[in-house]
Amino acid sequence: MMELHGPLFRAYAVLRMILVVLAIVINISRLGDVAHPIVLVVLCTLILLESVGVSVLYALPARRQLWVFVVDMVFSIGVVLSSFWVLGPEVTNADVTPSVGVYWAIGAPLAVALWRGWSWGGLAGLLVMIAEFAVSPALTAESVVGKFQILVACLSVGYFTSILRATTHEREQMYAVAAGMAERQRLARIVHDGVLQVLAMVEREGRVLGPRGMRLARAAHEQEGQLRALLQDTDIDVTAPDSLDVTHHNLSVILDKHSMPGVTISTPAGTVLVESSRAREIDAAVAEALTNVTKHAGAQARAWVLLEREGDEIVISIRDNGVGGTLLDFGDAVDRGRMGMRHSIHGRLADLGGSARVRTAPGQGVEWEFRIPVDVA
Amino acid sequence: MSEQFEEAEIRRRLMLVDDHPMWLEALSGDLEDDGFEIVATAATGDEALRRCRATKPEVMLMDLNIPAPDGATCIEILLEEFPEMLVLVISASGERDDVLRAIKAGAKGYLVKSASPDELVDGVRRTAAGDAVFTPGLAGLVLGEFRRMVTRAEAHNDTGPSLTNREVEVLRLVAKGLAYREIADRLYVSHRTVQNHVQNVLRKLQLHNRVELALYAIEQGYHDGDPLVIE
Repeated sequence: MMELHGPLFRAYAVLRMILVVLAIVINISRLGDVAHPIVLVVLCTLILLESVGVSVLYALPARRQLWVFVVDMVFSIGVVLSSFWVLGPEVTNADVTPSVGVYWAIGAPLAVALWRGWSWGGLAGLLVMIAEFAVSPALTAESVVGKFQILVACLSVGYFTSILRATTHEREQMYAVAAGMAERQRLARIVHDGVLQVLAMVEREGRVLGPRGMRLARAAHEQEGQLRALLQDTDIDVTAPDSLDVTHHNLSVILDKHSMPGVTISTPAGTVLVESSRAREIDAAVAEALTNVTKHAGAQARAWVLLEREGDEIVISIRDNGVGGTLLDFGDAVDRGRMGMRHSIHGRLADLGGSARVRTAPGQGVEWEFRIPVDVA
Repeated sequence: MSEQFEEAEIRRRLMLVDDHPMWLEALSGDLEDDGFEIVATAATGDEALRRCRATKPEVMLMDLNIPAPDGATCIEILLEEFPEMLVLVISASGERDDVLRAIKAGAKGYLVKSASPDELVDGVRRTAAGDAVFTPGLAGLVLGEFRRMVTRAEAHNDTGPSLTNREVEVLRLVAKGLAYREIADRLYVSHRTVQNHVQNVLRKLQLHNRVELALYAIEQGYHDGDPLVIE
């Protein structure tokens, strides 16, 4: 995990030094009024040294240990409680910020809050607040608010640290996932390319090895087609702004899945984004047309699918070189509800606000052209 | 009807680039049987660049997925140095962007490795004769690329490279799996005319690519003093 605490504790060190300077300035200004001025000077020096010491320790991740925080807390509370004797009752009763450290004592519980979040920070803040109350129990509004600020500051700093830690952790997990995916894709591409090469080789050499070799070649060819389609499918670009967009699908990728021996799919480079439910309908219509090729075009027939984008229209052409038929046959098929044309192809395209045109002749294969309006994404 | 064939133009000095030894061996055999002279083979991009410069083949068969620099980059570099060389791209996985990059750099065509040995040899033969080797997949890719370029030019109130209606028609028929002969029959033109249309489409794409590269160079600040070569 990234060192989240590093920058926080560096900023903290600056704050702590400001608090030390403030304490020294205030104490010098009231040096003539206090009971034991020499002890106060010694205490101010100790405050300075201790603050520098713990700030350095806090800044080093390895040194950020429980005992440092405990020492800091004990010293701070000790300094606050010493105010009774060092400053004398005249000062502690009259002053709004009566303790020796002035505001400096908030430093130790703030460090705890940065380190362990709002619960520990709040507890540490509470302890310092109680010590402050013990030194000057006067319940004037000014003095009570001043002391409660310690608790409030520790709780809020602690809370924000907790949230920051949670979000940082989440973000790091996302980065890790993204990096993992990118790496997996890179490896997959290498592995797949190797497998594709070998499959293509099996296909190539198998053909000359007699009937069993032919079978092997055919199997290799089928697997190769499937693997290539899968490869295109898994190509998720994690850096693209829309890689997590589930409302649209890339029609190129969807249609590529129909690629197999005897079926060639041609698509443009880049994405052809279509709203998901429409993409599914379009895919179903294409599947239906290809099923018809398998069923009716004859065993030797091959099919080609071409996807194009013309302005705000998508054009899909599906052609086979099979036995074809007359348009009358197709009219018959529609009337009898056969070949799924009325309910699947024409129906689906009408629902999408598009059109389907068919062209055929005996011995000339069948050629479909779908035109579907889409939002320009 | 007598077809005019200019057999004399066919070039025979061939270089193969592929990182699979099995493939190299099998292809070399097939192509040698067909009368090609294999002047060099290479398994990585570095080797390809070095050996091509040393042997200066007339025809090159390039796999796109090879150890760095990748096939498309090699084609870009080598066609800059040897613009006369005829390059045919083959690839197992067919990453669209790489294929497009190779074609824009000046490759004559593209075949997938699963093509049959006959198709491969035929593809090399046609490349060697200077013809474009367009598969349906490549036609779809190129059609889409022209549409993209036109759309982008329109967005900038510009006139981009465009295809004639006839060229679009021919390309769409190629993408729909028709052979040149079938396209010729359907459009009532000669086989050669169809081939010229396909060739023109490639030329436009490559020319536009060079213009784009030059514009890019100018935008990047190579305009003062530096020589800029556009062929």
